[in-house]
Amino acid sequence: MPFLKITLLYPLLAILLNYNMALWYVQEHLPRHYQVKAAFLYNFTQFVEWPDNSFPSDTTALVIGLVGEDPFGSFLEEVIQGEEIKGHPLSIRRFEQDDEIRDCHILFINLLDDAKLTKVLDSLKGQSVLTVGDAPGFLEKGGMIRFIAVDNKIQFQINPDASNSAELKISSKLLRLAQIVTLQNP
Amino acid sequence: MTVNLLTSGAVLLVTGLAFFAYELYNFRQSTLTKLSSLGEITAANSTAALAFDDLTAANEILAALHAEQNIVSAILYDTLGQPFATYPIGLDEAELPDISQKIGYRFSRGYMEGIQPVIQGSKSLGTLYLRSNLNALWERFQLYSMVVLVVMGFSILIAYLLSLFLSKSISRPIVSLSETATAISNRQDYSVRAIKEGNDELGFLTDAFNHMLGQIQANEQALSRFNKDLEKKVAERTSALEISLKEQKEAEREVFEKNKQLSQALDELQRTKDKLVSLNNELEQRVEDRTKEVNAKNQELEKVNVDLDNFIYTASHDLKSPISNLEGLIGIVKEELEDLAEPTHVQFLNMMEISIMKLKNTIVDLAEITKVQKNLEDNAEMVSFKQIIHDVKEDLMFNKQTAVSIKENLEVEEIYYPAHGLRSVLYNLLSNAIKYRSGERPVAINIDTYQENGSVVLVVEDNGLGIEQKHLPKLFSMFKRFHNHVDGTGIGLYIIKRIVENQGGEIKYISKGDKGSIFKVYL
Repeated sequence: MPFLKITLLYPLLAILLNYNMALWYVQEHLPRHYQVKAAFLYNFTQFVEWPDNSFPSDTTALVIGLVGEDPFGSFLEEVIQGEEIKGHPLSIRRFEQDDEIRDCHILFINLLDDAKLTKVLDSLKGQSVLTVGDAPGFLEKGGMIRFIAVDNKIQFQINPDASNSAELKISSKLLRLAQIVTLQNP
Repeated sequence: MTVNLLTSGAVLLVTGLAFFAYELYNFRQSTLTKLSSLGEITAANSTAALAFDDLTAANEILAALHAEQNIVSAILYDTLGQPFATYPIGLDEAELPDISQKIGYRFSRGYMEGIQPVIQGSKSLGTLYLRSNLNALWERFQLYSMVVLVVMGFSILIAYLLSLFLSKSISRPIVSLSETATAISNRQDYSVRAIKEGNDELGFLTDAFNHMLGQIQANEQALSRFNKDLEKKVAERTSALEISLKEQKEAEREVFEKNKQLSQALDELQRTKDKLVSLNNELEQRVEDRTKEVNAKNQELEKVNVDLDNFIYTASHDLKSPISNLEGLIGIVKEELEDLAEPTHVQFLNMMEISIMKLKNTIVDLAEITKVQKNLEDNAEMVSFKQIIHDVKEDLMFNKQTAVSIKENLEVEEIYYPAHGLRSVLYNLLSNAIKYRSGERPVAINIDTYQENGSVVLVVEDNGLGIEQKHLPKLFSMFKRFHNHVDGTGIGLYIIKRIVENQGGEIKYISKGDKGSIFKVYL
């Protein structure tokens, strides 16, 4: 029983406490949906498998990249602080619009301009990066996950074809929750 | 029979209950395990729903628990411990259980419940609570009880019927057989036989039993016959032994008697021996005493002897000179009175000379004797008989004019002897032979020496006058003469005897009657 406490309850509590603090902080400063989205971004890391060559070593950080305006403030940092996925610590990297985007695993693209959006998405072809965004037509342009709001709740659409061609495996548990979108090839 | 049934029943009951309890326990465990499996599966499936706050999905997942009819309720809690989704939907929030209890599955208050963490990877996303009723258990319990009861009842019935049947065909014959056996053993009557019932294995057993009885009976009879014989033999042997024992006792008694006698005899012997020993001691003592006496007497006698010898020696010695004086004086007187004296006076003087001569001779002889007795100046040496005889012959021839034939047969030519003594012996023997010759014949002397029994023997034989029988005892005594017609002192033989006996020998006389004498000297 003490074993269970240490392995489950205390982390649980730690998480809860952190979460609470973060929540308090964020409530002061951020719209709620960005909180949820930040949490979801983190959650995605648990339900997605990257190919081996994405991580040079077992301890290479799993990078959450941001391009466009950073809407999360410090919330994302707080969410990922101390977390790790399969031994990979999490880290955040911010990119400017014109930067070459590489060495990240998830990329949240906060761009509304279609041309810029397309440019970024195209530049990521061939890399195993999970692209997430909430602009309309995100998926049509090649994105993989799009946040949508349904009945005041944040849900998401997923294009499995896009993720598959980037050699990313999305867990069925996640797919099950999402609206699956398949694009008709032109 | 009742006992059998009761025993069988009890055994069945115990076995039944045991299996029953075991099965129930097993079933309980397996239901719990099933619940646990369900819980784990549900929790695994709910991770995403919880992570992404998807109530619809969560409800869907929980609704799948409907398949397990006994599940009463299930609740998904988020990481904060707040209920997120329930099954069935619309559960009263107030009655929701406290999930701060331990994680795991257990029986509690008439329910099975379980608390299962929802974990994705290494991250806990919430908790699942499950509750199930125990209907399944009850049903199983009822089912088992019925089965056990039915089976038991049925088994007992079968057992009853079986024992009814078996007793008839198996246990009764066996019991009867064992009763027979007991009766036989008790009464030692082997003529009894068991009754055969039926032709099956038991019948066969009965036959075998009876056959065995027959054998035993025959053996028994043989044994008792043998026993009787044995007793007879033993009785005979015993009486024989008794007789021999008696005889033995007799013999022992005899031996004992004999023993007693022997020991008595031994005692007597011992006593006699003791007496003898003491007598011996007495005798020895007496002999000692007597010897002492004799020795003392001897010493006295020797002393006397010595005294006598000394006396004689002194006397002869002392007498010699007066006699010589006398002789000389008479010679002188004779010379002085040669012309003046009358013939009768001259005759008287001559007679005086002769007497003095005789006296002198006697003295000389005495002196000889003492010399001999004192053994003076005469040590043993190797002397030649021939030489001695020659010397003696010279002496004798010098003195006498008579024709003497001496024959010598000297087988022993030399002897280790005192020369002077031997000379005396031969001189005296020869002088005697000549002195006491027979006038009828010329003197013939035989001198022989030979060995006899390790001693040297000297034999002097003459053909003289011989010595008469009556004189023989005093033959070798001092101053004894048996013939007066010649001169002689009578001590010659005595001297010879002394000399010879001094050297450990002896002298014997063998008569030839009046034809002569034989003197045998053992030297």
